[in-house]
Amino acid sequence: MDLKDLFIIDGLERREKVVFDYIFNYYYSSLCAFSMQYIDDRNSVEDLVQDFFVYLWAEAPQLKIRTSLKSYLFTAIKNRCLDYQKHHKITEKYRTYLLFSTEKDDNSTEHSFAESELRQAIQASLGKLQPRCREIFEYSRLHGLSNQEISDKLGISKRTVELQISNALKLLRKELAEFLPFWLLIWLIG
Amino acid sequence: MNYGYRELEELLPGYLSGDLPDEDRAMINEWRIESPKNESLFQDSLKAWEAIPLLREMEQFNSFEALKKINTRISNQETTKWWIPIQRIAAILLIPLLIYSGYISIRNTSLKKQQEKHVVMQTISSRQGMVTQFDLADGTKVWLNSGSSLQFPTRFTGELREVKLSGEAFFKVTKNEEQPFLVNAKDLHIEVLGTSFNVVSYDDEIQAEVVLVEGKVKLSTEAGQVKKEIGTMHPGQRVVYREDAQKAEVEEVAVDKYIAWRDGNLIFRDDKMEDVVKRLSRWYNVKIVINDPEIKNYSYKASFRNENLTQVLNLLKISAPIDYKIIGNKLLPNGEYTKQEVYLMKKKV
Repeated sequence: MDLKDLFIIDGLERREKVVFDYIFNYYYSSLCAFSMQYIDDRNSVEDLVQDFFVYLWAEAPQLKIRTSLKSYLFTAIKNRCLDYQKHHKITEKYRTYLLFSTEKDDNSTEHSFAESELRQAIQASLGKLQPRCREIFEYSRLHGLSNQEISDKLGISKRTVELQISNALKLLRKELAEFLPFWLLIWLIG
Repeated sequence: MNYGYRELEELLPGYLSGDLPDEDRAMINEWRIESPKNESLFQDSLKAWEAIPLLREMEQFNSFEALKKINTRISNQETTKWWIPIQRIAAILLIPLLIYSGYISIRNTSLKKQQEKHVVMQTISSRQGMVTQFDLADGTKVWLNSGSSLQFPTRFTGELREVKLSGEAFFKVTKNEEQPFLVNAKDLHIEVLGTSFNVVSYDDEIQAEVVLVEGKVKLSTEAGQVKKEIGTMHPGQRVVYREDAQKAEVEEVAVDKYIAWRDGNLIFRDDKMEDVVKRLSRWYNVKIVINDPEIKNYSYKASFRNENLTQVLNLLKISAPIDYKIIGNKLLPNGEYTKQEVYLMKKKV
């Protein structure tokens, strides 16, 4: 646990609203996206995460968080998601995901991150690409253009577009692999 | 398999985006099961491929909007908790004080004294339609109603813990018999040792009200230099003090409707339309004019929560023989806007 974490947890336990708001704004979107792997419904997910934060505020002085704040938040949300599944008879499809995740990755919350952190990581890795390569990759993944559209737009062959995209992906997987969590994978497969 | 590493990786974007022909897909699938190393390379690529869409997904969740919801829920929670007896709190008391407008400032000698001792005075205000909660230096909790403000020292150093209120507030006072807590609301002083209470002292009223929920408080007034004891209040009592007549009247009341504002509720229980209008206009920061004097004496029963002004007015229209007209705010030459105006009239039969 780093100093900043200790400081924030301390503020939370003393129920400082500023600290609470900071934590909320920082982690809310990523906790929601994380919960989407368990509960495929945006409204339920938002309710669940909001319920948790109301609890967090009420119980803050009794919490005694011993792990990192991030790990605490993601683990707590994960447990609430599992409870939710139990109570709402989530479809078979989602149960299999779940098995997958608990079997293979008990510390799936270990490598979690907030929206701003993901944005920074993406920007940093995109920054390492050659300008042309980055341009093409962004057209593809950020703006959703097809390879044909990119080749028309830039006046280059479709083959070049494909090559540049695979080059970009190769570099990004090395840059981001460490950073991106296992749960992202669970979220994607299937 | 003789496919080169490089060559296969070139096919991954096509595979991940689903553009790859079936035979090439099969090839990748075979390559994946060939070795754990291949599979992990594949998974890393997948994660990198989906990083941007994941970011987009996160961006769909609006934390600021969500925080607003949370804040209302948190303040509700505080309200329920407040009924649970807390060690350091001796009693609960509610004091709405409605105070005359023409009066400009109160001479408050003890507050001045504190300032002279270089204690920094601080003022917190609550915006229209909002309830603000904060703590004072001694741990006392304060809820400020819509459009109210509280002046208080950053530290309590003197014999008394003195604060000055304009508007409506609820206090949960930390007990300290050595240093009583004093609320100055213009002419009226409310002295407590440790208790929770609600005070209203809007600047446009000639009467002050005090409602005590639990415990005991001492009330006194100070008009000019003349100090006068009003007396000690008991739970469930409401004292109305009229400044013009300098007279206090006591009655027994149900207290909950006077404190409901803390959870964002407006409760009316056989209240005169005149009072209903007063509270609505403060809460929504509008000017409400009763066009027909007959309406003023209607008594009204309703409770509102999270409704907007139009919804409240429509409810009023349904449940009482009343109609309304809203006139939107106008831009003044100085760049400010006038308040929205609402006119209430008798419903035409």
